[in-house]
Amino acid sequence: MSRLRMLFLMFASACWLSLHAGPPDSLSAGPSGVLGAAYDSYLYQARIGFKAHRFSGLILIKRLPSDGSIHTVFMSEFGLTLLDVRYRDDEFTVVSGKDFLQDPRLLKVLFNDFRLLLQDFSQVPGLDSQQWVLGEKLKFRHHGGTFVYRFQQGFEVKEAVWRRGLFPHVRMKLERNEAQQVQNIHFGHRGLPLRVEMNLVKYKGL
Amino acid sequence: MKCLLCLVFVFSLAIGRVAAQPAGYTLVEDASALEQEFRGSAATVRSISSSFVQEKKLAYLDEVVESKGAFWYRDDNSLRWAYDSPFHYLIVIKDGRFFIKDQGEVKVFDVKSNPAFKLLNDLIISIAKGSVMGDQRFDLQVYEGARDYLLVMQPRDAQLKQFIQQSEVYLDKESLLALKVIIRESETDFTQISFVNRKMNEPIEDAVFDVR
Repeated sequence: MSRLRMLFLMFASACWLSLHAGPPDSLSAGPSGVLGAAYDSYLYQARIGFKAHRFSGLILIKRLPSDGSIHTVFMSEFGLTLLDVRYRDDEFTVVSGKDFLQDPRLLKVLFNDFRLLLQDFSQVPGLDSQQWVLGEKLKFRHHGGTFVYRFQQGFEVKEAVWRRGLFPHVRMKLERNEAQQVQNIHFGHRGLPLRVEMNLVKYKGL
Repeated sequence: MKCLLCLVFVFSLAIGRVAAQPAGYTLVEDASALEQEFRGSAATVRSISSSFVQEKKLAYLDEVVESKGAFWYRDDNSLRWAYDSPFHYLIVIKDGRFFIKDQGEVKVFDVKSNPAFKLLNDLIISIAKGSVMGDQRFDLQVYEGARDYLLVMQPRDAQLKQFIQQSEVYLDKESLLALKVIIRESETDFTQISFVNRKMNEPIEDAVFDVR
C-alpha cells in the first residue's frame, strides 16, 4: 500500500512539474499571451489551404482595452468583413459573420487555432507564473486539452501545440522580426488537410 | 465559390437603404436622361489609369485599415487592379480570363464558364468606366450635389444583400467617372475606395496586363 502511495505521490509530483514548467518570473513580468500586451493591432495577410483549395485574405487582431477583449477580424483584400470573433474572459464568441462561416465545425477549428495565439495566460486556472523558468517550456491543461508553449529567448513563444491525448491536434509556429513582433504564423492540423499561413503586413503599437 | 462571391460582392457596389437624403444632395426624380448621359460618356472611355486608396473602417473597433494600389482599364475589357501597400495582391482580367496573383502564386479562371467571375468581371469594368447606372441587378437612387452625382444602389438579389447593406458611388459631374465608392456592410463597418491621379484615354501597353 505504501508503495502504491509512493507511486501516486511520484506521479502527482511529475504531473505538477510538467504542468508548471515554463516561463516568466511572474505574470506581471511575463507575457500575458503570445502577442504580448504592448500592441494595439496586428494586420496579417493570410493564406488558407484546405485540400486543393486556396484562399487568401486579411486578418486583423485588435485589442480593445475598454472591455479587455481582443477581436480577430477576417476580411477580404477588398475590405469585406467575413468574420469577427471576440476573445474575452477566456472565451471566444462570434460578433458577426457571413452565414457560410458560421459552421460550428469550422468555428471550432478557428477557436482552437486562435486560442493558441491569443489566450491570456493569466486566465488559466492554477497556472502560477512564479513557477515559470526562463527558457523552459510552458505546459498546462486547459479547456479539455493540453497546451505546450516553447520559447526562443526570454518569454517569446516560438512554437505552441494544443493536443488531446498523445498527439498534437494543432501546431503553431512563429517567426519574429527584428523588433520581436510576430512576423509569420503557421498553423498545421493533425488529421485535417488545413494549413494557415499568416504574414505580418502592419503592426500598430500602443 | 463562396469566396469568389465575396470578391464579387465587394466590387458589386451593392447597396442597402438610404434612410435619409444625404446632406448636400438632392434626389434626381427622373434619372433616365442622366442615365443616357452616363451611357454616352461611358462609350467614349477607351482607357483609364488611376491610383486608389482603400480605407476599411471599423468604427466599433476604432480601426482603419488602409491599403493603396492602382488600376488600369482598357476598352477591350482588360483590367489590372493591383494592391501595392501594405500588401501585394493583383487581379488581372484579359482575354476572357481572370488572374489572381497572391504572394507569388497565380490562379487563373475562365470568366465565361464561371458565372461568379462573369459577374465580377462585369462589375469591375462597369465601375472603372462609370457605367454602373442601368445595372438591373440593383435598385438605384440618384442624387445630385454641387460637384458630383451620388448613386445609391440596393442589391435585388437576396444573396447579395446578405453581404452588403449599402453602397454609394460618387461620380464626377464633368467626367462622370467614379471619384469614390463606399461599400457599407453595417452602420459601423464600411470600405471607402477613393480614386486619385486618374488619366483618361491614354495609351496603355499590353504589358500592363501581363501577370508578372
